Amino acid sequence: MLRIIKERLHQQYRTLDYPNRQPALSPRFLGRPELAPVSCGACRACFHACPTGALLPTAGREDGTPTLDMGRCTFCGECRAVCPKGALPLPGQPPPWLSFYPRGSAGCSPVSPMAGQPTPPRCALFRRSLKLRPGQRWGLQPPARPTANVSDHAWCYDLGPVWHRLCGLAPAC
Amino acid sequence: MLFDYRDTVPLAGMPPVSAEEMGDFLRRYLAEGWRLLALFGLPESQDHAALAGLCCVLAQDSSHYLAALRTVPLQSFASMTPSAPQAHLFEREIFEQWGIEPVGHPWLKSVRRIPDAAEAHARTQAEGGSLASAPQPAAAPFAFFRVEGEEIHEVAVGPVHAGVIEPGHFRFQCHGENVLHLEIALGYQHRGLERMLTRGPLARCLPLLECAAGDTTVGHATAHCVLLERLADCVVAPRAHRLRRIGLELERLANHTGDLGAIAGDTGFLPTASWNGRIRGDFLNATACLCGNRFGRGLLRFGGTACDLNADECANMLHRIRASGRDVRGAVDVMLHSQSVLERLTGTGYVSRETAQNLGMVGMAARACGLKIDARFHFPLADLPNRDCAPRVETSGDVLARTLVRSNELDDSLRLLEADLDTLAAIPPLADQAPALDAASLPPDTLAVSQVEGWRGEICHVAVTGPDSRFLAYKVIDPSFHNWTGLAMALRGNQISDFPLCNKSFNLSYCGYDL
Repeated sequence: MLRIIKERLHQQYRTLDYPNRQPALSPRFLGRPELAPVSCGACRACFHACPTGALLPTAGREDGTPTLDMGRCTFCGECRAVCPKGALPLPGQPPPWLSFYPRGSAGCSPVSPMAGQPTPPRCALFRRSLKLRPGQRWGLQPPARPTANVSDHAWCYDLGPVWHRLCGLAPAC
Repeated sequence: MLFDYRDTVPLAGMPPVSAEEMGDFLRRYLAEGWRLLALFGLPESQDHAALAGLCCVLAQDSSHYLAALRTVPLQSFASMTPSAPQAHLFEREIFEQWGIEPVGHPWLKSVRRIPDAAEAHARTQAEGGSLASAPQPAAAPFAFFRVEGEEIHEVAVGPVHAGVIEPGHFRFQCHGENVLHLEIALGYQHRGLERMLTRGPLARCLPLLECAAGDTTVGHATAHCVLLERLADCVVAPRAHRLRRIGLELERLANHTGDLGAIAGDTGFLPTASWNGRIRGDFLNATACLCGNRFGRGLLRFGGTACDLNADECANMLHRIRASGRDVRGAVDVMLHSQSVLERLTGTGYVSRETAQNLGMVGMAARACGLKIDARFHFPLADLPNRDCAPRVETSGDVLARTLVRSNELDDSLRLLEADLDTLAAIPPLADQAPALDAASLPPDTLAVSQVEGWRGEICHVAVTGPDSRFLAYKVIDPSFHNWTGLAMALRGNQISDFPLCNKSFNLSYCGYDL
């Protein structure tokens, strides 16, 4: 009994006064990714780098501008690493158009390309996610099927249903 | 074919033998104390209609040697299970995946599929393989082993459980409160992972394997990277080896801490249950300090790691680890000094040493039965010093033994972490990024094996490349694959109310088994 009380005193009271105090996040935590609407030309590097197929061509735009599916994103940062527009002299600095912002600073960081723009509604972020598709449940319309270079994704055709869901890029998927 | 565990074997050096020869080979080696690491169907080519033979890999812990053998393509073979029970689940899997029948198998049923689901049949057809052309079997109830007799009753639990856990079905045969037999049916989370690994691009394999079992991300990622490095003959810097070991030990600490808290919770000892929930978060946050993700995703890369720690970060992490280590030690010691907890844990969920050995159990659950199996010491990934650590063995085989093994391993992991962080702070950082992996750099027609001691036990990955250097077969064997049967055996002679406690002490992975 005394041992338990002694240990209880050591373990202390650790409950965080949330939301007045925010939890301390690792400096290496990337945070919510933000995409700036820029023209990508013929570059598709981030599509191929994304391990979960979370980056999709924006519906209705032919210039290859990506859209991010937050339901698939695992915050790995691979897209940031391969973006050639990030060819900056300062190593380690994120490229200007594709950045990760720690929670709490999204949309208000002075370097955010989204600064000054209204934050998209929460449901818009997840509109293309796996769980909400096809979307009737939330009153959303399913997104138009994007088009992409089929030969880039030939590998996903005869794979299991999971890759079909994960890929999302090729028209047949 | 005998080889050192770090070597790869060209298939030309493994001439196919007959199934009878493989059966004799397996029985002889298992009698000498070797363990069956893997037994799987090896197709002749990547063609959908290709016939498959068998391939087996065995390991001897004392000599650090592996043995591999393959057979000619088969339609059926004499089951090895009656004389070598370690093969029982592997043979069922081979029958399910390739239609090769192990004649005389005592309990030949599916491993992952749900036989009466039309959906499962459609999936089999879509995935191809030799079973795809078979007609859809008539809907039939899942055959469970039944005990007959007066006052015998059956209790079915799951697959949907009251809690945030994975799906699995448990069928208890009871006499009063006493469990005579438990059968566990899994497969509800089957994703076709191995098929995706062999058919998909090589660059996608690592992210896929990171989610093979979510609580063993670093373990499976390490096993995959080590396998590719052995195939491609790539040398990894000692610093990267240490960073990987930090990831593995943090994973072990977080899971052991969480499970010890869960054992305390099921025993009704709430202080440790509450504290350990928080302390587990501390270790997960330390993992996030290393790689930005609390579960270690993105930490590993082929040839090294994706992140490094400078001297300040090492010192910061060391400080946090020491504080959390002190917390968890205190929390667990309080539990282990409580007579009521010890009374509850002693003798519950007993697995004998013979049972564990016969079933081929691995990892912490096997060490609690007195088997000295630990891949960190028998099949080390690098020649890093072990700082007085050793396989932690208990002999009583009950929940208490598994609790004590976990408790002792906490100390080992903390010691290893301190040593690695001290060393990392003193040596220069990684000079350059890990080399990129080119799919063409893998050798054709080669077999490679990697074994990594994850927190739950030995994770084994086996890959065989084809003539075009792509994977012909990629087997992922999570420790859960061996140990689920051990959990079923642990319940015999216990009461249904002991099941949650036994389950927590093993804490096996559903998706690691279902793949």
